[in-house]
Amino acid sequence: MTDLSDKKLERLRSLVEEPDLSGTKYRMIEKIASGGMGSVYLVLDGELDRKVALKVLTVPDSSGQMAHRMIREAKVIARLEHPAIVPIHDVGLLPDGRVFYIMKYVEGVTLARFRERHLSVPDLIRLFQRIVDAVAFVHSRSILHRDLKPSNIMVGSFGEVLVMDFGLAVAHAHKAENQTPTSAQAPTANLEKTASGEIMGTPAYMSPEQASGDGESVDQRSDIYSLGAVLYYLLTERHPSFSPAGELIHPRQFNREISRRIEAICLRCMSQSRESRYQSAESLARDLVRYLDDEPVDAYRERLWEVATRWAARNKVILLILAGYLIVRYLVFFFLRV
Amino acid sequence: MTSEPNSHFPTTRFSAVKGLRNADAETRRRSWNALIAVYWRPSYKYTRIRWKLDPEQAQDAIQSFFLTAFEKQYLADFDPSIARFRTYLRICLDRFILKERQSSDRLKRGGDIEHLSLDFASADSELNRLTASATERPDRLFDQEWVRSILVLSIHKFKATCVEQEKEINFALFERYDLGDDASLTYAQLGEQFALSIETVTNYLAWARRQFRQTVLETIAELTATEEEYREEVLAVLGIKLT
Repeated sequence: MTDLSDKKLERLRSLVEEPDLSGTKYRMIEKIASGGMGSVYLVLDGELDRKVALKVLTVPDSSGQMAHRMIREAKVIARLEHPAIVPIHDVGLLPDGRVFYIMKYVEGVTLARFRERHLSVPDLIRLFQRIVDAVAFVHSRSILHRDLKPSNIMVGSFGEVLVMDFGLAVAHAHKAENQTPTSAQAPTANLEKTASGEIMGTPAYMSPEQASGDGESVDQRSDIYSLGAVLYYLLTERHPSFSPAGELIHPRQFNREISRRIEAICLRCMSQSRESRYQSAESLARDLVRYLDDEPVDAYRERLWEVATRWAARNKVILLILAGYLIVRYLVFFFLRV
Repeated sequence: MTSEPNSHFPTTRFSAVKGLRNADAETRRRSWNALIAVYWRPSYKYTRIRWKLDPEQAQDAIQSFFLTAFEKQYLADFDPSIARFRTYLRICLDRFILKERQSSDRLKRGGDIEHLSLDFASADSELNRLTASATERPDRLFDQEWVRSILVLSIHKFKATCVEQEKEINFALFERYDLGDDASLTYAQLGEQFALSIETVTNYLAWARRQFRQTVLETIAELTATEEEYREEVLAVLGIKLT
């Protein structure tokens, strides 16, 4: 055996790279994903005879910083019991010394893949609304996600939304229920950088304050920005795009079917200034409900004709009755005169 | 469910790189043989591509290089704080060939040099199958071939271990399933072929993979001088960082 083809060589490398599960109750099935920090494998829990997902650290970690981050991620997820957050079952060290955690195995597709299906704008907004609800819950537990993007959101086989990958999530100071933070009181988080000084996160979905590395300014409104970028993607099937001058290209320039009201919601989320964005995920969720109910939204000041058009669209029956009544009145008046 | 970190990694190990400097001649020879076993093939392919030598010239260059390096012990000067051993060896090889070229304008067929027993024909055969893109970067080719050499050597060692422990069937399963060409082969089919239950196949393969992994780690340990270099090379070969 001296002739080892490239294909076999890669197969052997991945075999050896596989987490050593000896002495654990888990049995390897297959690798299902690779991320920036680790790989995710589908494994069988031998005791409960069920499939679960095992995430294991695969990146260089001489300082132990990444292992620490992964354990922190596991602890963050453990605090989040919500239908839209994948529950975590176990965390520990494998016999080969690597940190791992076990989470529920979800059969579904990423939001990016799901978007390829042709859904109506209202259906997309209803989907987005569930994402916002999940993020609102995360914020209510004093946690910032900091890496919201289509590939970190899954849609399950029943259409349920699942927010994943809390690798960059951080806890922030708890705020009072229903309290809208001002810039002065909004909870903030320290940004982490890699050894090379690179800011952690995904540029296209990252708020300006996060991209600049200004950790003091990163708060839940930074996640609101990322949510706006996710909405941008849902509406246009594109990552947020900017002109050469650095101005965000409005979604309607890519898709004229988008109403000005939903575009305004998206643009408000993605305002450069934190103060101009929605101040909480709850307020964004409320505006989405208003949009879906065909009511005026906070993000957009309608012109008179737009108010009239929207009112007419919502009150077609009344308009028809009124029109019928006027026609009858006109006919009666006409015949009486004749 | 947790255990001692790194308990599956080699704790005491023989380093062939360190062994080059050993006062004992037998240890030096043993170290040298261990290094040649891994390095001759990547060095030969690299020489053919990087220096565009024909097979005969490249064979002589490799024979001369390894024999001269052993006699003059210039690989023993390796300083792990400056580079990895494989990088150092490649640079030494480059310098050697350059010097040979300058001194004689071309590498001649060596008449009086002692010849190592190396299977150049199979290396040439593998080289002929390489794609054009694989040969664009000779240094990358060297590294890739180095990984291949380590894995091939590890397979041989693993096979020997299985024979020694009377676990030939474990190796046979590993060879059929993990080294075979049939990607559609299932554990059930394997079980039928070897008259084993699926559970037994699963357990035997799990043992084989664990043992093979350990063998690869030991092989890398042999080829490195320091713990840091060992960890770097494990990352390069296996893509994992020892914590």
